[in-house]
Amino acid sequence: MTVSTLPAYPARSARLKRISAEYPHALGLLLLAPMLSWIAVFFIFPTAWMIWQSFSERGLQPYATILTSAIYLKVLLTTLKICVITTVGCLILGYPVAYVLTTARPSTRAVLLILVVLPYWLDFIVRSYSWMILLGRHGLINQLVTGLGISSTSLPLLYNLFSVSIGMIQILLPLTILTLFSTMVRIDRRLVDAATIHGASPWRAFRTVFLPLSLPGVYAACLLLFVSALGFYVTPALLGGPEQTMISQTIMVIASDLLDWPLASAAGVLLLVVTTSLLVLYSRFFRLDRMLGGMAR
Amino acid sequence: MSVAALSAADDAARTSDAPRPDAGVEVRLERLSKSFGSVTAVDNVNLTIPAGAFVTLLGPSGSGKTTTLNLIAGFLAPDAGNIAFDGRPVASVPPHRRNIGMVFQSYALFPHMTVFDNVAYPLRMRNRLAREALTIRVGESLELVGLTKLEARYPRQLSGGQQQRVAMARALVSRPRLLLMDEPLGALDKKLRERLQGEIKDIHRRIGSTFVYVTHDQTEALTMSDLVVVMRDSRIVQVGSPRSVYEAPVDAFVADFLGGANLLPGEVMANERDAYAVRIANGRMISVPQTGASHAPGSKVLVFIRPEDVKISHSEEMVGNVVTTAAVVREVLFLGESFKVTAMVGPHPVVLRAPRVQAEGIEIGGHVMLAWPPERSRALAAPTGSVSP
Repeated sequence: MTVSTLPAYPARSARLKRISAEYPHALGLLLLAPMLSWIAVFFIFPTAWMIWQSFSERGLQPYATILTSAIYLKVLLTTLKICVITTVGCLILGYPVAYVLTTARPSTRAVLLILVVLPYWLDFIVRSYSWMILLGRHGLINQLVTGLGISSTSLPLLYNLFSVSIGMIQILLPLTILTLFSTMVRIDRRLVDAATIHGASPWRAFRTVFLPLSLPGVYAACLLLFVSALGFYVTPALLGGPEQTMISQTIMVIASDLLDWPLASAAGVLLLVVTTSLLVLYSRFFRLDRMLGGMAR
Repeated sequence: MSVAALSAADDAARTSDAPRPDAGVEVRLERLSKSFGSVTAVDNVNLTIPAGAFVTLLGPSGSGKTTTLNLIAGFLAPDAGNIAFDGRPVASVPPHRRNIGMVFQSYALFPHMTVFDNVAYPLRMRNRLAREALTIRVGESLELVGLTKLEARYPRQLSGGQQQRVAMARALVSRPRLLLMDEPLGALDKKLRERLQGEIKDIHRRIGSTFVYVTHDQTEALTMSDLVVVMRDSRIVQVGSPRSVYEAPVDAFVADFLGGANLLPGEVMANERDAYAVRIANGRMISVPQTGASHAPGSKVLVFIRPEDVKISHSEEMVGNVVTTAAVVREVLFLGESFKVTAMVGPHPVVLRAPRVQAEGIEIGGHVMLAWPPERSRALAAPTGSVSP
């Protein structure tokens, strides 16, 4: 691919021509070099160092500790539960919005897209704190509930599974909508017309034609959401109680409070392994390259 | 009824499986209008499509033909006017209850379904059939369009022509009384297009449904239709059998759009019994029959004559009742079966087809005589402003 595109860029000097003939990938590598070195220094090297550290001091012992300890397994389970809730919640809330975006007129679509993306530019922490103001014991919602006499005591809205899920869903919703939208917008609307004219009610046309064609986007969104949710730290820390401790928080505690770096590294490696295997399995089953590469048919 | 429609009915009667008399629906459009913002797409269209007819909406892009089709389908709601099927207004009937089959320009086959499921789709939505009955009906429909053994394939595994056939089979499977086709052959190469034109026409004869066919290709319209509806600028300009719109166009636009047309500017000098005496640019008076719109003496007209009706000769001697005029040859092109000759009558070109025998000795710059039967010509109103024939 790189080789065949090279002649399109006229080589200015004979020397450059000779170099590019001898090393067909030279130009590509040269352009990639800054990014590659950045990734090497700040990602590959630390990751390798983390993996090495998890084994170097006590061998497989840190892994055994995590995999046999009830606490760590519970945290892992909690993490998975929160991720599933977040993913499903995002899809349920995001799918209709993405659908409306595809049907809207271009001018309306632009406005809606800005509204969708706007929260994405706000900081995680700011958004999490704003939920604390809304959901707290003396927060806006509870003041409204007790003030109107709907309930005499304030509702337990904060520091539980509910608040963590709602916070994470809000943060990941723009990602959901954009992922779904990018698939849906490529679906030929004439297909829905074809279904309708051949006897399908609007709902059946949606169910038999639009929905199945939008599934690649749904699968892609599932994966992105789940993997993103796995690594959440700030939101569960601010909005959750001890019961909602997620794996990243645990790693943080092991590393900075217990100062057990091999154990923290092992937990990190396990998270990495889980995430990577999910990606591999997913791309096997759902042809991820097609989903992200723009394939609606 | 038109000659073409009658002969089509004859043919249909001769086939063994003649269609039921009620196989087609009559579609009536009354004062139909539709605008998109400030753009008028369909402007006060009145049209009656006879039951069982093959009707073509013909016009350049932007003439409103596709919008008209989408209004009949119910994808768009008219701003004004009525649509009636067999006399019953359909304004409140949603598209999925109009019992229409449709072939889309891009075919719009469902990419996630096999050929079988695509064709079975209307049956599954409309009729509750047992599995065996469904399989039989899908098989029949695929056989009708000449496509078998591909039921398990997906649309992307088919050629353009095969996809077109699947789209036809899907549109016909539930035996709709109205079939809409939106430039269904536009994406195919010329040879395949010509073959499918014949096949579609044949299917129409066999099932007898009303076919409404949108195209910008005049050959397609002329070969396939019982009735041609010529549209321009959101309006209907002329409705008639293929022969009548080809031979007696109402204006210069229709004349030119339906095929090569010679339009010689002239001035009406006199009204004699059934004919106008028209003086053309080289000063010659020619006779043009009085049909259609009437022209007062002194008015500017365009004398219309089809290239294939013009004969060329070296001598003044022309046999029979013909109109003749002198001309100078400007261009001779060899087309294979004939020559395309352009000759100048005064400053205006006349294009004609000369068979190889007739073209002997015709040279560029040579003086020739042109002749045509007066009944084949028409006097058309000259559009205000300049004309480029």
